[in-house]
Amino acid sequence: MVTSFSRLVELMQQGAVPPWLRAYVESNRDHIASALREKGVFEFNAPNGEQITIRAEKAAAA
Amino acid sequence: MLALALSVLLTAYLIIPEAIFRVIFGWFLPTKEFVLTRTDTAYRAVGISILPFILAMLVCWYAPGPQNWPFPVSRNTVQGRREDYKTVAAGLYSDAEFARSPATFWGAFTRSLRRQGRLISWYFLLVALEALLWGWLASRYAKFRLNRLYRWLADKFLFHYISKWHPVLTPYLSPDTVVRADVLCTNDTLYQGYVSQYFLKDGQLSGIILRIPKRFDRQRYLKAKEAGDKPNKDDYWVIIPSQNLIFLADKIFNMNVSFVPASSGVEDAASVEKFLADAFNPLRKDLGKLTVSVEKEKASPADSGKKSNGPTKTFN
Repeated sequence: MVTSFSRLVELMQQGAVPPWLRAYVESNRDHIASALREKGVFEFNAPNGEQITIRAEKAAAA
Repeated sequence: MLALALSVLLTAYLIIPEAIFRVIFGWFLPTKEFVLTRTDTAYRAVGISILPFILAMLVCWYAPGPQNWPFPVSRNTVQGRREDYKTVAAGLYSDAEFARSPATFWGAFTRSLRRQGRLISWYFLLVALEALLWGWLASRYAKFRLNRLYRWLADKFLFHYISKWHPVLTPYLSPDTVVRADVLCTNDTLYQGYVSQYFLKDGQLSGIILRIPKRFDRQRYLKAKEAGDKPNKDDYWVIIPSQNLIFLADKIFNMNVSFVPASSGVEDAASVEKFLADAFNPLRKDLGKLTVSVEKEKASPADSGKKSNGPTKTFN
């Protein structure tokens, strides 16, 4: 394991969020935001087949 | 004077190339971090440098471009080169030889220095390329290890430079796995988590960071056992509200390491919620709190045996 300072900082910041999820959310931010605004929910599948659902409290209640 | 010159040559041709190799190889894999004995250093330095040195000599003698670049020398003939080295060696060996014709000595010395500079430039470049190649090969051990030639090379050359902790604490040998460690501390507490980083000091483990750590509630487990229940050990792991738990090596009594299949799923929804809250912070007013739920894959006859290559999205 090559422990560089930047890698360590990244590790501390990312916590337990899988890298693919981070990349996915960052590259689909607008899609996710509009779906949450319009429908209050956004679903997608993880690489291992898990279904992940994000719900927005206010939009879902509206 | 001659001894000084030999020391400079030894540094330039053995010690610096070994350092270059170590640094570049370390870009791919952690090199052993301990001070080698002089014999070890010399032995490894010779092993590393022999091929690049021969190649550098051939390049400087015969290749049309590098023959005179960098540091070109006028009248760069084989005869001239030999004469210059003889003059320099004699001048360094004996003050009387030097005093006989200082101008001849300094002329020969300058030309020799330029030739050596050229040879060393190519030599260092070739050592760097060799380190890149070895580093690349060493980092792909899991892929190439069935190849007999590769295994021989790995045993003879590559692994001398790799930290012994690397294959133990990383998925180096099985890239599709993660390393799960059960760490028994000196205070008799057992922790479990996934190894995310480790630290070495003088080649010894000095610390380790576990991701998604859990602590085994031994007292509650023993009480349940004494009460006559048949407790399931898995129910007595308590999640620690920390993403990265750092252990100092001197507090570790022993460690059980296992390689488990890497999960590409979400292991900690709370962390994801925090991440999403940060990512969509500007929209917080419109969206309110974001919650995340994860459902395991629902196997259907159509999906069975189908492997997802990446996240795919569906809108409700």
